[in-house]
Amino acid sequence: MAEFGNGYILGFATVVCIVSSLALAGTHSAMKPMQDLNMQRSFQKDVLAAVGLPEDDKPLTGPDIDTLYAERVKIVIVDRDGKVHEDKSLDDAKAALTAVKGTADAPEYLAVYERIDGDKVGAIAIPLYGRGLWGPISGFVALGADASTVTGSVFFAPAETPGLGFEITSDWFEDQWKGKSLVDSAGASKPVKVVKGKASEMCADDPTHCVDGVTGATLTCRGVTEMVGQGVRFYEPYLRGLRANGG
Amino acid sequence: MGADVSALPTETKAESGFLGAKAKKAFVDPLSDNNPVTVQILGICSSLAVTTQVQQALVMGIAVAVCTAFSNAALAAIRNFIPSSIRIIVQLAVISVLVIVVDEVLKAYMFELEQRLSVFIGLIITNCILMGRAEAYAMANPPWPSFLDGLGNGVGYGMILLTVGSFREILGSGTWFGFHVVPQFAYDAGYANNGMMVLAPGAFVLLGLIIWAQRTWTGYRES
Repeated sequence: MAEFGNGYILGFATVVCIVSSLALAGTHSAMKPMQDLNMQRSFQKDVLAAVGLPEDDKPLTGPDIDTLYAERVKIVIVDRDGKVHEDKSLDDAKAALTAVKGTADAPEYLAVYERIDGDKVGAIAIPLYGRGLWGPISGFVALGADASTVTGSVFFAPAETPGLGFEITSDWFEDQWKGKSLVDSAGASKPVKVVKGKASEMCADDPTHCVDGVTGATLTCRGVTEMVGQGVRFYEPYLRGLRANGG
Repeated sequence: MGADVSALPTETKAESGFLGAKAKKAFVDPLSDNNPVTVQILGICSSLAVTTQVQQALVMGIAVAVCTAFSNAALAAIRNFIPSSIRIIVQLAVISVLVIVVDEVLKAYMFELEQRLSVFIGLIITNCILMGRAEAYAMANPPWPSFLDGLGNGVGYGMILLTVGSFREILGSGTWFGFHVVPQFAYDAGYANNGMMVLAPGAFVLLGLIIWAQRTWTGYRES
């Protein structure tokens, strides 16, 4: 290693920067298509998991996800009054969601993911968006054909603390939603809430509307409760229509 | 005059060749006698974080080995052109580029595993083993031995990760590479997985035991 003049040092640093940028840009563009496909499959896999597919619980890989998703999942766009819009797409629902960002208003269009069993709808998943302690959380709650009984759930918490708030993405938390109900005994809409501690102790009188909380993650759990409450409120007109039609 | 020429420190062909003694030493030394984890006590953070499952440990070990090998080789190739006043940031730039490339490739071809390793792939950049080998070896040696030195250190690190990972996964989850290795009758007879093994303290205890065993075996003493 020798001593060099300032001009050389600056020149060397510039060359290092340019070569590094080119290497990174090149790698990123080469890998982008494959990465996008992975992201898309990861999302589809989560939707499938929420609506209880595949039935045999076998781990799915690559193209199998594409096939199963294309065959069994149908996206339906409804408005906030519960009317189905055949002419709208997922992009309209996304745009509507962005439009009400930061407010408590229901988006104009909402997406529903239907599981197709032959010629009827076996389950529906509604997407949820909310706030955790450190950042956005999201998820799906899946309902059975009666549009009331919860058949599955998936949660995402990219910014929450591992071991605490991030626990809402673990199997034990997601699995306990199965069998809960979004209506009360009189048939009125009633969301499931996350209690502090054990649901069996905290709300023994109403076990179908409570799930266990995560110790040390009270605020994240409150975020989940709010998110589910809001989702149930937004989708209420549509769900009521389904219940009236007997699913 | 008349000094014995063979006593002078000139490298013979056998020592400096492609697979000569120097190259061999560069690769073999860090596997045990100078292991980066158990002897130099480097890279401890990730050895604790990514060893709950063997598969994660394996991929992490390979990623680090690839990064140390190629960063060492690249830096050794340009070592005579790097101004000493900015050498550390140049080392960091080369290491960062390699780590990001590895991360991008994993995202494209091993997506789910990459998601589980999450931030720890990116943190290879700050893994002391990489900077340490760049500064201590690659700055003073030609590319080929530097490559082997980097590879040896990466493999040495990976071996420890795999050992810790195997113990943690078998004792903590009853599986190895995801396959059940603890038979069902053991659970029926009252055997339970050790919960501490899936947490960081379990890794600490295991790593301590491994360091003890390895140092007893090699006879290494802190000076």
